[in-house]
This record gives sequence, structure tokens and C-alpha cells, in this order.
Amino acid sequence: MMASVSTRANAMPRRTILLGFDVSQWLAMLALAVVIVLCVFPFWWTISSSFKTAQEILVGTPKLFPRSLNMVNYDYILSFPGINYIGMFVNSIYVTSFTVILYCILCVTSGYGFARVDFRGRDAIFLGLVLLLFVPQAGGLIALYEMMDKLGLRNNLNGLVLYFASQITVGAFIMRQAFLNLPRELEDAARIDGAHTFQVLWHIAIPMVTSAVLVITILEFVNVWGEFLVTYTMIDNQQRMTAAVGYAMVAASVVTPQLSIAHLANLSIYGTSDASAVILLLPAVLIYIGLQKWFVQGMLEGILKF
Amino acid sequence: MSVGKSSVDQARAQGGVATLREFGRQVQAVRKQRWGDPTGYLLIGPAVILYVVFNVYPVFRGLEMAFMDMQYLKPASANFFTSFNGLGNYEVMFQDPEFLHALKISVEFSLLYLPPAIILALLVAVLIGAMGQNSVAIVSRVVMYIPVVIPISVTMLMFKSLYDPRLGYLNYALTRLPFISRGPDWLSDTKWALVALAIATIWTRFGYFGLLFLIGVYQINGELYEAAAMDGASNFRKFWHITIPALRPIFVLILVLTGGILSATQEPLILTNGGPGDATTTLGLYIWNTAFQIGNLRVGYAASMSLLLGVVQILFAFIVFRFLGLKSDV
Repeated sequence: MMASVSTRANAMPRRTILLGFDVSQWLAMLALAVVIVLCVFPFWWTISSSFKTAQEILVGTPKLFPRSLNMVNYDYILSFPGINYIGMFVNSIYVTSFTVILYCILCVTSGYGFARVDFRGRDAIFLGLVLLLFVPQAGGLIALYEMMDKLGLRNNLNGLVLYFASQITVGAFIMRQAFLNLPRELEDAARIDGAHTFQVLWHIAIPMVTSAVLVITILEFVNVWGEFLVTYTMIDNQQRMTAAVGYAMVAASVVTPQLSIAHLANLSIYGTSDASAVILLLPAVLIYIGLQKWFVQGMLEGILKF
Repeated sequence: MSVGKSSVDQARAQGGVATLREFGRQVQAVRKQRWGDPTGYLLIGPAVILYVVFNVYPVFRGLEMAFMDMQYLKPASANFFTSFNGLGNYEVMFQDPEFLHALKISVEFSLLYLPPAIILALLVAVLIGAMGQNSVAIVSRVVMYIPVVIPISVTMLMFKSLYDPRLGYLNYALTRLPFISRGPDWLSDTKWALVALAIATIWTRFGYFGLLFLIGVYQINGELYEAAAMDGASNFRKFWHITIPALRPIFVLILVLTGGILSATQEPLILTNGGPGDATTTLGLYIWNTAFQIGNLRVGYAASMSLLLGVVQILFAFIVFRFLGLKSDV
């Protein structure tokens, strides 16, 4: 163990340094390591269980690792007649990608409008938008159901896209903040050269706020991919169900006895529900991990200053 | 643009058409002063219109429904004037044993979920902040938000399998401890079901609060800590007197945001469907069932319960603002 002794006049207390960190830092790292393990464990358990056969799952002592990467559960759910796993996954991709695209367009344009264009009522409208977040949602979902039914958008994936993309408050807020933080000189220079508002927006403003756009993209993708309540309420038709809801509904039901016993012997309901869970969570987690560098950078760049 | 007598006189001297043109120009100038740049409306238009249609209209319609005895399976009752019943819904509500039970469960659930989630998030954020650019800190930062990213239905399914009394890992891990011989029946025991739900919800959401706290922590000026250290402050005192006051606006934000936990619907729906019995039927779940699942689908009654919840949320936000304020101390 190395001890470092302070030689400064205002003698700081002696600290024990081990491998470059002192005691309190080691404790902090330990605590954080525990938190990391707790966060990752359920997630790891699900992935590992999805590769287990029934015999491995239905034992007295659960094991952390599967015996091998057994694809039995995946084969079962993907080829199960009557439940369209791939179809539901495609529905999820459809809803999520169109929603994210529409949402980004709406938030970027309205954010820029609120930040840089001077028009009557601008601040009042923006304030209204923010305050409406606090207004009581008296049966909002119920009224929404009624309205979308009348508009024919209810049992409909496009209706979902429109609804999810319409919640612009947070996104517009973030984009407006990002645009406000841009230096005006570039835009002014462009205007002097004769550019009109849309050209300035497209060629100058947007390229400078890409990290903010990425932040709202990730937030919206993750929210819509896993969205459960509204989808479950609005959609009855199984063909149009998204994965987030459909997989949960399937997992909740009992394994059908239509299969041969031998086949059944290799599966357990936990294994199959874990397999569907893995398929469902992979896109969200991969997108988050892939883009998290920009996500964190965007946050730290003070987009969300208080 | 000169808006004065001289330009008008000049135009009049030139004859009729020029006068009109000048008049037009002046009107345009005034319009631009009053209305500003109209491309602004074009930019915010689509977004605001979509927002109004899907988010503002339902609020008003819901308000209307809260004072009607509207039942979705009876289409005739959808008209405000035929089924208006004033405060009738509220009279029924306070006598309804299921409502009162759901209210109790919601409050218990909030108390089980909020304090641990916030404290855990705060501790993790402070620890990460204190570690600077250490690799453990960076990994923690990413990993803590992963549970937030996972779809809620996946999370609840994961916990269902972890909570299984015989096959789940949680009870297995607990029985490894010397003083526990048998883990509880997490989801079938009325005493433990709500705790199980709370643990699952804390796991899912603490990363979100943690991220908000982390942003606040990163914005604290490091020199404050150095100055305090030179004055001989211990780590605890630095935490209590610098970190916490600086994070006050974030506490406010989080408390206001989480007023909505009273109306949590999807977590109990997926994990336990309100069970066992009605041990985990939160108010949100009861409202949702009333409106979409049970009997005549009494949406009016459900809307009135929602309105009550919403008012409680606003009151709560108001109290939080009043006592904690909006600005940071540091």
C-alpha cells in the first residue's frame, strides 16, 4: 500500500491511496458496481433463459448460463401457427419509424418557428403548449378513443402514428432550446445574402443542432417502440397489433396442447416468453447503446439547462 | 418604409392607381408590424394543429364526460344534454368501495415506489458525478438508463419470471442467504404483490430520475467543492450543503412529473392485472377497467375519476412549487 503525504502548508489530511484511488472512491465504485449488476441482471437472466430448454428451466436450482445456445424457444415462437410474430414485429417497425420521422419534422420546424421567427402570438402559443402538460387528463384516453373511432383512425396503425407524433411538447421544447443557443451571426449573414427562412433552416440551423435532433429521436423511438397502454386500448385486430402488446398477450396465455408431447417436452412457458421478450427488447436497447454517446453529449451540451 | 403625408401627397400627385398602390404598401407595413413574419405560422402550423386535434380536444371532451352518465355501450348516452347528471358521478364515487380501495392501493404504491426511486437515483447520480470520467462512472451512466429503454411489457414479463416462487431467480438467491429459508410468493401473496410491483417499477424508472439528477450534478461548479474542501468540509457536508441545494429545481421537476404515478395503469395491468384479487388494483387500473373492460363501459364515471386524479396532481404540483420554489440556490 502506498501512502502519500501532503507537503502543502495548509496540510490536507493524509489519504491512503491504493492503485490511484482513495478509500471513498473505492467505496463509490463498489456501490456503482452493485447498481450496474442489479440493472443488468434481470436483462441477462431473460436472455440466458431464452436459450434454455424446459429441463434446464424446471429445475430446483436456476443456473446463470444456459447449457448451450439452444434455439428451441425461438423456433417455436417464430413458427407457431395462428400467432404472427413476424407480422407484429413488422407492425412495430412501421409505427415506430413513421412516428419518429414525423415527430422529428414537426419538432424541428415548430422549434425553429418558436425560437427564431417573430410572429404574433408566438410566446403565448408556446406557453399554452407547455402549460397543457399540467392540465388534468380527465378521461383523455377515453375521449381519444371516442374521437379516433369516429375518425376511423382507431383500429389503425396510421392512427397510432398520428397520435404518437402529435405529442410534440417535449420535442419542440428541446429543439427550441437548441435553436435559441445557436449564434445569430451565421443566420444573419445568410439572410443578408438573400436566403429566406426555410433555406436558413435547412442549410444552416439544422446541421448545427444534430445532437439535439438525435436526443429527441432516441427518446421518441424508445417511447413508441415499447408503448403499451394506448396501443392495447385502441387496437383489437390481431393483424394490426404491435409487438410490444402482442408479445405480452401471447406470453400471458398458456402453451397450446396442439403440439406433440415430444416437442412440448423441450419447452417451458418461461423459455418461450423470454425468447419473445428478447426479440422485442433488442431494437430499443441496440439503438440506445449505439446512439447513447450522442444522447449523453446532447444532454451535457446543456440542452436541458435548468 | 415612410408612412407619412409626403408619400401620400406624392402618390396623389401621380394620379389614381399610384394612390392605391401606396395605400396597399402602407397596409402591408402595418400588418407586418402587428402580425410579424407569417412563415412562423407555416412552421408551427402542422405541429400545433395535430397537437390540438389529438391532445387538446380530448381534454375538453373528457371534462364534458366527467359530468355525464355516459356509457359507451349505450350510444344514446353520448350526447351531453341527454345524460348530463351534474355531480352525480362524484356522489357515486365516494360511496363506491372499489374506488376507495383502489385509492388506498394507489397511495400505498406511491409511498412504496417514490422515496426509494428518488433516493436511489440521487445517490447514483452523485456517485457518478463524483467519479468524474472514470470508466466505472461512464458504464454506470449508460447502464442505469437501460431499464428505462426496455419496453414496459418486456420488463414486467421479466419480473414475472424472476418472481416465480419456485423457478424464479429471486427466491433462489434469497434462500442462499443464511436467515431465509423460503422466499415469499411474490405475485400470489396479497401482502407482497404490491411490493413486487413497486420493486419492478423502481427498477424500470430510477434511471430516468438518475439522468435528470446527473444533468444537474454536472452543472454544479466544481470550484464550490474545492473551496469547501479547503475549509475542511467532510464529504457528507459537501453533499448536504452544496449538492442538495443545487439540485432543488430537479427535485421540483421530478416531483411534479411523478404526480402521475397515482394514475399508473400499465404496470399493474401487465404484471398482475390487479391481482391477486384486487391487491394491486391501482386507481389508474380501476379507471381503465371501468372505461374499457367491465359491464356497460361507464366512461362518464371513469372520466370523473380521472378528473379528480388530475386535480389532485395539479394541487400536488402547486404545493411542490410553493414550498420548493423554482430556482436553484447555487
